[in-house]
Amino acid sequence: MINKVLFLLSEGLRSLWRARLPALGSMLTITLTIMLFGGAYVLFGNFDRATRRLQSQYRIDVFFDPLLNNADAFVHYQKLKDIDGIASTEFISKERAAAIFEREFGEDVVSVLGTNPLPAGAIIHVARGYRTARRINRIADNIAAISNVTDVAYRGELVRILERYLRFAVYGGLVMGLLTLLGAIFLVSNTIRLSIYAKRETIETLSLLGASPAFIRLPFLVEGLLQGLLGSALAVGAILALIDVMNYVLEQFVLYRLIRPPQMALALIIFGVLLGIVGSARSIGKFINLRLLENR
Amino acid sequence: MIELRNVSLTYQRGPGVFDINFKINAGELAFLVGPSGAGKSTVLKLMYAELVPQEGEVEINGYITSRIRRNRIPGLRRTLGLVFQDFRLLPDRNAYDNVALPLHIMGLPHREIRERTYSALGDVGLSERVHHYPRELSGGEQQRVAIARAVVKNPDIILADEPTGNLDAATALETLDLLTYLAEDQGCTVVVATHDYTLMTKKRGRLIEISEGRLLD
Repeated sequence: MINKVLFLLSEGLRSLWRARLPALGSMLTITLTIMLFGGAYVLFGNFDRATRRLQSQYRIDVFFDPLLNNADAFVHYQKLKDIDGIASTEFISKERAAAIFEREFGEDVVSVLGTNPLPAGAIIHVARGYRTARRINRIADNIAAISNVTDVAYRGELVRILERYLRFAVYGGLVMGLLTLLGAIFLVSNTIRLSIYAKRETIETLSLLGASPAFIRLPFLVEGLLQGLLGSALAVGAILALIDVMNYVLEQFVLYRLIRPPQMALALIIFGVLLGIVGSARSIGKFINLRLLENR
Repeated sequence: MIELRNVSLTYQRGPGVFDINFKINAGELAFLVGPSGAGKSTVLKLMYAELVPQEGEVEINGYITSRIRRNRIPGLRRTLGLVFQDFRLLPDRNAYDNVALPLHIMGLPHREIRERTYSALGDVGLSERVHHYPRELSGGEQQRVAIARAVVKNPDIILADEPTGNLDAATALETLDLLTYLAEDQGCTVVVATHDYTLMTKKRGRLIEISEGRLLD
């Protein structure tokens, strides 16, 4: 049995070598497909990480009517705690607001104006499960509906824009990946079909010598599998190299490094191998079955 | 043992064979003779289940081809040695690999494959041409490789379709000697389909004559 399997594997390799030019074409298409999917995967992993970082720092600043004193503002502040999606709240009295102002702008507003015009307010930290642009918007709307809240400030727009670009990049990558996926299946299938056609006499001879359909088909399946394996290995190498190059460039400008999503290489290689197998199985099923072995 | 009972088959595009009846016993050498288009190849194809009779039955090595399940046809063919006019050698493999192929199909161990392949090539006098590719061999040598490929699996039955059709007279006789040796000394049942009537006059064997798809009395 082992001898038979080794023989069939070597037949697959021999077949791949004989049809090396068309095989190279379909292998490179697999590489392109895997690179598009892998690129979308890397983008998704990194955008997701970046937005999570922003979201984890996320907070909502609430400002009450400047005419309210601290005690009245605190009464309204208590209502914030009833709103869904809030992890913690912090009351900012008028005096603390003035201290923050001084720290940020270097001016003591009370000594300049003789009075403290700054409103009391609150800092809201959003709960973990609510850190998406849509949910944060809803929390902000609920806060704004509380009486005597005059302003609600948050960086929701930035998150929203990031999410939109992330979605665009991932969907775009997936659509392009799907299109090349179809192309890759077609090309692998066509390469195997050419290989089957070139070997039609060999297939007939094998059949006459008593080879089972599985014995005849397996080398072609191995051929497709190897195309998928080599194509995806090339793609994974290219993606890893691109990540390194981009990190080198990014290092010059920002404090951000692209990460390699976990298990990426393995997932992409499995994907490539499956692609090769599906492509060859398509031709094997169609061509060997219908044209060569059903001559009875 | 091979037996055809009331076998008929008509091709879509023309005549086939009609009401064929004969029996070839184990160890017998039989010549199926007739002019081109008489139906000799059709009869052989019916024997190795390339074709299935529309009427009647073909029994070969215990298999009845009209009842055989599709997945058992390879098993039937593994018990047969087939030799063709155009040799059907794989052009990208040398003589050794061509002869070893049926043994790989049978899944034999590597050592046994090597021993049997060298032995079969030695039996047909090609020990010195083991690593030659078909294009490097003469027609007679190619046919001997094909015969070695047929006998390497120790088949009970050898079916040869015009095995001398592409060979000169001397080489044809050599090939025939080899097939006769397999029947007489090795106990194989050998069926040789040929249009060359002069050939069988040189050998002792049973004659089955066919013309226009029918057996002649």
